[in-house]
Amino acid sequence: MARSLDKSYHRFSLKPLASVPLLFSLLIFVLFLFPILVFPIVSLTGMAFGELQHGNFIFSPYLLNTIEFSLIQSFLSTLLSAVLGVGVALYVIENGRGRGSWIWRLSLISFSLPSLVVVLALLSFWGREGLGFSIFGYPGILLCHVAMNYPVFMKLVGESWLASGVEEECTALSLGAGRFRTFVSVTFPKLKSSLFKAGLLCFTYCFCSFIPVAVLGGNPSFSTIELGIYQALKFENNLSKAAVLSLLQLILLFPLFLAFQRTQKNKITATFQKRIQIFQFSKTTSWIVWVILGAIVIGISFGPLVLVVAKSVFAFESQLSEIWDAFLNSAKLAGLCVMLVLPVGFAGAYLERHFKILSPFIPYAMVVPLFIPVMFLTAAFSGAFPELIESFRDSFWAVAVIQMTIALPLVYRSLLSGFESIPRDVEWVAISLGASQTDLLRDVEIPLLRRFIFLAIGLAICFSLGEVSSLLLFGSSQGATLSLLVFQKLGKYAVQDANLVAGVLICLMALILWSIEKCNPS
Amino acid sequence: MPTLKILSLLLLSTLFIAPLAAKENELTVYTYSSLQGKGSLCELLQKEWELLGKKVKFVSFSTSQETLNQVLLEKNKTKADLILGIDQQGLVKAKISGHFLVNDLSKILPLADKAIPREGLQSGFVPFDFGYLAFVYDKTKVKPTSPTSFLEFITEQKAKRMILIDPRTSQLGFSFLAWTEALWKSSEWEKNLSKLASITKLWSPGWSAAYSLFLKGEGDYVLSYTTSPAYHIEKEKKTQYQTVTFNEGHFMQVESAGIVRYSGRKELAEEFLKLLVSKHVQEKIPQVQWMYPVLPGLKLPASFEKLQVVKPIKAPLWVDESTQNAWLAAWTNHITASR
Repeated sequence: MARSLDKSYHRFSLKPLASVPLLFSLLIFVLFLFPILVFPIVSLTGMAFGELQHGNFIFSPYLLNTIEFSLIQSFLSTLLSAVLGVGVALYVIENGRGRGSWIWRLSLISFSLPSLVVVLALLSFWGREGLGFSIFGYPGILLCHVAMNYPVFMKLVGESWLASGVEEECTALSLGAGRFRTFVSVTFPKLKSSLFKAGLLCFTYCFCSFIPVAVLGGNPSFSTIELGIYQALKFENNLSKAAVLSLLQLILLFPLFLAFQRTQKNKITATFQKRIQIFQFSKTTSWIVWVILGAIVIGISFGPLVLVVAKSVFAFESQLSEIWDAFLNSAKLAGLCVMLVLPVGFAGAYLERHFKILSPFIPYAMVVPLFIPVMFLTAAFSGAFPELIESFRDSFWAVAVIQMTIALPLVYRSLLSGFESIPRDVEWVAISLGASQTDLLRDVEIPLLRRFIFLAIGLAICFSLGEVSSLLLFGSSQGATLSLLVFQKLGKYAVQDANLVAGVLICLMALILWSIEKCNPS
Repeated sequence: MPTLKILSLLLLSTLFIAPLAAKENELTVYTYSSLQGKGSLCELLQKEWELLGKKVKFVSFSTSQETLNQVLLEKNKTKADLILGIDQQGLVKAKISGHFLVNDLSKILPLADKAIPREGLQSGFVPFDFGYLAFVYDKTKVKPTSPTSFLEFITEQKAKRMILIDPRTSQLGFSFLAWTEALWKSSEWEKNLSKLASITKLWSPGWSAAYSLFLKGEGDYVLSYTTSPAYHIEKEKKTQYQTVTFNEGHFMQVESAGIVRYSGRKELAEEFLKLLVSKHVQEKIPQVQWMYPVLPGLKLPASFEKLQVVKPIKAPLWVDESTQNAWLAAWTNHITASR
């Protein structure tokens, strides 16, 4: 019976023309994939090759320096984030839910906030010379990247360690191996895969860094390729140069994307649970480590953010109308972004679930935006659809399309988790009872997915609220959003004014993140 | 979940809120952020314009260069009727683009032939203020020896304490580059650029950011105007802010305004330009812009009398676009190399 159901289900899933939802999803997917993702990228790449063939582009010392700086700062940021992130993860897991868990939670805060807010928070908290040296240049950029990225290591490595169990470590210790040797020989090999995955993500984020480098660079010597693309598009009106820089970035990021996709095969899910301590450090050591880690987390993450919110409370009465306008614009843009990203993300997840021929390729299409920097995509759009971009300059549509593309992996993953949480048996039973694919979607899947849909909406809103890069290029006279307003104030180093707007943004995002946490099915 | 539901509904509802479309008789003026804010030129113009029973909307961008580029990017889809705050270097780019009207200035500026500077008038744009570039410092913190030349001044600097402005993003920054080029020709220029880079702490994207950082003690010297100390004398009663002056002369920057070719309110825009160069607005230019007015013979505030008088450098006020690009490329490579 089960076998025949399985066969009939698969036969059904292979016929998209027989299913309205499948056909519709396919249409949405194709509409997204070709005009929004493939065509602009191919068009920009073609333009870049044309420039290079005609010898119009010279690899100047500035460009070579930009590539060198992008690579060095990404490497250093990844290394420092790994040291701190893994340290926090190991400490928290070893100490269970006790005093370590708040370090874990506080660490996740800076990860969920936009880079713009983190930059501002660090500037407000540390000032320009608070670290004992100038925050501009390498110190500030690295500090900001570490603050935003060590939670990636902490979460991925921590979860991987939790999922792997401690039996092997216990055996090694009981056989007389020292704590250090046990960690190096037994624990570390188990964490290598998650370390690699976190490293890839962190390196990519830092390599494509825009806001931290733009604000804390303070010198043309500190420029990433992403910043170079912005410079070419915004100040030089030079799309060809932007195209070559984008191609260069694509070439450098493509291997990272392929490597990341390989790591996706080993999915790890683990929940925070009490487990035995295998490395049993003394009480004093444990306290010292706790104080050090706590001070670092407060210094680079929690403290700066609290300061921003506190400062904004005391200056709240000023600029209210400006903030209200920005809030309305942010809401409008987030609404557009949700309207665009939800159908595409849903279509992707639905096709992966039900359309077996496409399912191996869909994750690539849906996750590729993770490795496409915003400036790259913006340049691609400018090159592929110049007239269209001009026509939509007085609205948020162009910005919303860019934001939709970048937010897609988040939305898709949330919805896919939802689909994966629905047992196949439920669907088979519905089909065997004569339900069509449309009935199945309407009466079974959507009701079961409701919480995941809300989660996806929340994530898309959060992303849209914090994103500023696309607005810097496509935003025009339609007014500033909250994030753009923070950027504008920060651009003038009017830190106090920026704090006020950022405080509102943080509170808004905290409310949404809290709602997400409430409705998070996992 | 209900919270998220309410938020989602709120977001969707804002989509239907009427867009902030420009009204029929409302002028849209693109400008840069330094000209906006409390006690600024834009505030003055808005007030004066509203007294005439008309409306104006200022849209500001972070730097003057960005403001001009926005119009160049938007082309015929731009909402701007006017652009306010474009200097003589930007005018070259603006004129080539063909997106701006070439005004008959005699209608707008009756005293055109007497206005300062004459070069600004040739472009078809209406100049409204000008000033001389200078390094501002706080005499309670640093005491420069009295350098006679720019080169002597930068040679005596030992630490990275200068705040300069990125010429790629700011027209003031580019005027500074033009100043250095006028002083030091060819190979000497490149050598001195490296020297300049070695004592520069920050290349700020625009004047506002640079000056704000200077006031917060980030650097000892900031690129600004000879007239900047007047603000501190007038508004803060502080006399410690001074400028370093050089015998070889200082570079002049002239700010202008122009009408966008695609504007549907050209007559209104012309009226606005007339207001900009009218006597009662020009009289207030020194105290809102902290620059010199273009109309000659106006009485300057007492704070301006305490300023050091400098002579303009003998050099062309602007260069063509290809020269601008070549200078920028040379500057970028030198700054990068001297990290």
